Amino acid sequence: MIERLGNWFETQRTQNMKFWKLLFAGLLVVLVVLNFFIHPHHVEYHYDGYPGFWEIFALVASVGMVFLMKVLIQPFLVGPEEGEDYTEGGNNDH
Amino acid sequence: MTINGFLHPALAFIALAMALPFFRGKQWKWFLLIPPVIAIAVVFTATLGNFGVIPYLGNVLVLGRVDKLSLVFANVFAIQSLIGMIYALHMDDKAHHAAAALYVAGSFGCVFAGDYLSLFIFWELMAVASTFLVWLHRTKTSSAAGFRYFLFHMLGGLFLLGGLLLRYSEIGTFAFLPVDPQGMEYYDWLILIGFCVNAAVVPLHAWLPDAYPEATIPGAVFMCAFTTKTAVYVLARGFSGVYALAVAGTFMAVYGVLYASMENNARRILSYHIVSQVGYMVAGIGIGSAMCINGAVAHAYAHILYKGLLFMSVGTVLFAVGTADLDKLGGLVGKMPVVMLLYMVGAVSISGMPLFNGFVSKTMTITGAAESHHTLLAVGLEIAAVGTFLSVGIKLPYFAFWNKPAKTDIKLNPIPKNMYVAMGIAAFLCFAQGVYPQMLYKLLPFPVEYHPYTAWHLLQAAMLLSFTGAGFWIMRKVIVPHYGRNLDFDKLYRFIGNMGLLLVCRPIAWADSIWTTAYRVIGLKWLMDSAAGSSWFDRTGIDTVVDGTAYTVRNVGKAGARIQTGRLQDYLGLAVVIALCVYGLVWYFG
Repeated sequence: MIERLGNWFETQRTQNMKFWKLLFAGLLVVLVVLNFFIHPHHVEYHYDGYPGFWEIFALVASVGMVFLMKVLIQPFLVGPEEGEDYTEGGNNDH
Repeated sequence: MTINGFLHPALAFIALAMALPFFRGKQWKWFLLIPPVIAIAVVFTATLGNFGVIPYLGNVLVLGRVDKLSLVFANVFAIQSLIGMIYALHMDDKAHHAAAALYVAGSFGCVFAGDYLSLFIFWELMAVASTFLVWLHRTKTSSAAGFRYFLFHMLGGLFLLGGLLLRYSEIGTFAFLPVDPQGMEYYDWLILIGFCVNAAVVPLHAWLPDAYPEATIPGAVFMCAFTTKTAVYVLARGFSGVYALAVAGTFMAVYGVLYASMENNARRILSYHIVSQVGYMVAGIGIGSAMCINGAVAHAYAHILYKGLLFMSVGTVLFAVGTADLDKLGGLVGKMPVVMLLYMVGAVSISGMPLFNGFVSKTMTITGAAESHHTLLAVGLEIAAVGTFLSVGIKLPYFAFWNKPAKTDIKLNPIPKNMYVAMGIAAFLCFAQGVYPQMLYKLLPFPVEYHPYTAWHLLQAAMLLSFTGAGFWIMRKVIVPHYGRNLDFDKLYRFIGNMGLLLVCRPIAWADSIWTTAYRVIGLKWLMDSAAGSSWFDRTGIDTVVDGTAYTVRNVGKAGARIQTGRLQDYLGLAVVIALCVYGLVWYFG
């Protein structure tokens, strides 16, 4: 049972990614369209009443966050890890 | 302490810890589940009131303040203690179970404490017991991290102790009551700093991502639930409406997700997200409106369940594969599909996806912030929400389970069934509270007038999450985790610690060198002279006496030997001479 589930996921991961990507793109389009019809009960930050605000907010915030941290900041912060992960090649929790 | 029918749950856990060394045989592990079951029974049947009131040195200690606020935290602590104990059931290390039990006991003690003195005692019990959950991992890095963790918590504890003693000397009471946010005294600030250490308020937070990834696998599951949430409880109890907390909380929420977005170690990612999620609670408490306090408490409740689930599932990966570093994982979905699904329940809960408990509690806090016109704070919390889904919802599972084929030579340790059971319970509760929020609402301190399931809230959540997903897809080549340790405030703590050590060591070394010189010049000379004197005395005085005695004894012996000829007539003659002498003396003196 678990093995079959694992195999199914593995198939999706390797051979069926195109389908899932299309499905995801479709979802994004549907959400943008829905945003034209469903509005907040009361606008809280003025701009959030406009359709497309939260889509752009999420996209900009996530892309900006990764760019800021991984590209601009991490090179200055990263150093060597302290000691190797203890469990290399087995674990000692028993 | 079964006064008026209230059994303090801490007692059951302390009793377990004391009894553990005496358990024999194979069935003793079932005893681990008894205290959590007792605790659950207590929190669901307890009546409100003050119990365990003890007069002590002219003061009153209250060990059992049972009201709505303490009860909601005790409720989730009880449930999480059961989940944690089930998750740890496969472990044979009794010391670990004892540490976990004492840690949970400390937590219950803090939540029910009605005065600062008993709060402080249980607070320190938590610090000590949780340190062992780090040390018992028994690696070089965990030993070092445990010491740092312990030192930092001692520092926080000293702030608390200093604050409560100064407060006592000023106002003459240990009673743990809410402060007036507009009229806080210096001792209140000291206590607040002590609490903020445990709440991991930036920049006092770095002990958390330093120590939690080094703890034992079940130890981290316990720790992620109790320390910070006990701190959230005491903040909600004592410091609601302190605006500094609102700003600090929002900053924490953003800071945590920013660091998590570049982390490599899965348990450290989750640790940074504790900082972030506790930020929501601290912000809610700082704003202090009824809706925000409700949101903060609800979020604490939900957070304990889903964060426990996340730590359990990542711990399971660590247990099976042997590492939690994302750069060494990948493609595990084919081998651990159930763990992946359970992880995803936790991940969508923390991200605030509809149907899961984070959706209910997180939107409550943000809406509360926006409705009380803290726009900037609300926007900060929304950015943190995006970052949460980015790291925990997508990045971590993508690099652990999906992005590349699993290594072909990978050998997985079999996962004990109890781990699945514990994760299953947590996942069920995350889902149940999401679809039936009344479960949570009826526990909250204030009446709830909030409806999460409106068309707009659902659409807004869907848009935020989906477009965060799109953002991840755009940046998927950039966000690839790299092996390494990112600089954080713990390096600053270590620097300050080393400076402190230098400050202490330098004067001591200086004084020591002066003392050495003085000793060499004065002390040593005196010692040598007195040694020479005693040597002379030894030769002339002691030797004369001792040798003289020896010679005398020898001469007496020789004389005695000469007298003792062994002939009877000599002895008789000698006896007559002595008798004559005696008679002569008697006659002369008589």
